[in-house]
Amino acid sequence: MATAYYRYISYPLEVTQVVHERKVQSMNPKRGYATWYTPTRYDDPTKAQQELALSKPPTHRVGPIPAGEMRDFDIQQLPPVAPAFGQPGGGVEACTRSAVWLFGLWDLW
Amino acid sequence: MNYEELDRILDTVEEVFSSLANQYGYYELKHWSTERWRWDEPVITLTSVGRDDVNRNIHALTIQEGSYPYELLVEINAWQDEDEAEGEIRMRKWQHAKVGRVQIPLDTEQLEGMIRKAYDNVSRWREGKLARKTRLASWAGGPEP
Repeated sequence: MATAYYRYISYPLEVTQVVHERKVQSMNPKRGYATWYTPTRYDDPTKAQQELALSKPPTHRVGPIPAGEMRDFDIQQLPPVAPAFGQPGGGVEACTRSAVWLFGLWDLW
Repeated sequence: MNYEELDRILDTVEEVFSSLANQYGYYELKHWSTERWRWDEPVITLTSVGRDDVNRNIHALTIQEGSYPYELLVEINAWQDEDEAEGEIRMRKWQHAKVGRVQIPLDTEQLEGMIRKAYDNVSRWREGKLARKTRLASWAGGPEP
């Protein structure tokens, strides 16, 4: 059982959404806003690219998000991640269509 | 990102994937499935497990210039995972190759030819051809924040 999850992002508008709305969710309506997470913290973007088998290294990491604050995962990929784009994969991933709202300090004025 | 336009391109590729998998599924594949938009990337993947227990996939990734999709990159992978050191280590034997590129807007005939070439190439990769070897990350409950 994971204690926390992380989301890795490369899309600038999604970064803006996290910063301004404290909302973590894919912006892709074509798959019902399906949003991928991993329980693994990567400090090295190339390591994230390698184990999650992404076409390019992510630019941002969101998290840790405590497991208790995550909605149920709609899609639980059987680990480990398959190879792609010359990367071996091997990481762990899961997906939910629900948004996660981060703790924030809001200026009411 | 123009999700509508990209998704239409992936629709076209999925039709070719489905046709191929239905054609070969009964004889050569134990399981097959398609997936798209993994980690928000404009990619569609056909994954299959052959009767030789080698996992194989074909990826078609849309390449963009700004928000304008102009090319589809097709690539293949095959892999097998196995335990070593009495289950202490999980190793992946794998192979990867780029098959080619198809210009967008897609020419269906050219796309079908490229996907069929990808399928033929990846089908020929048996266990002995999986020359790359990578130790898989261990995970037991996730890391500390």
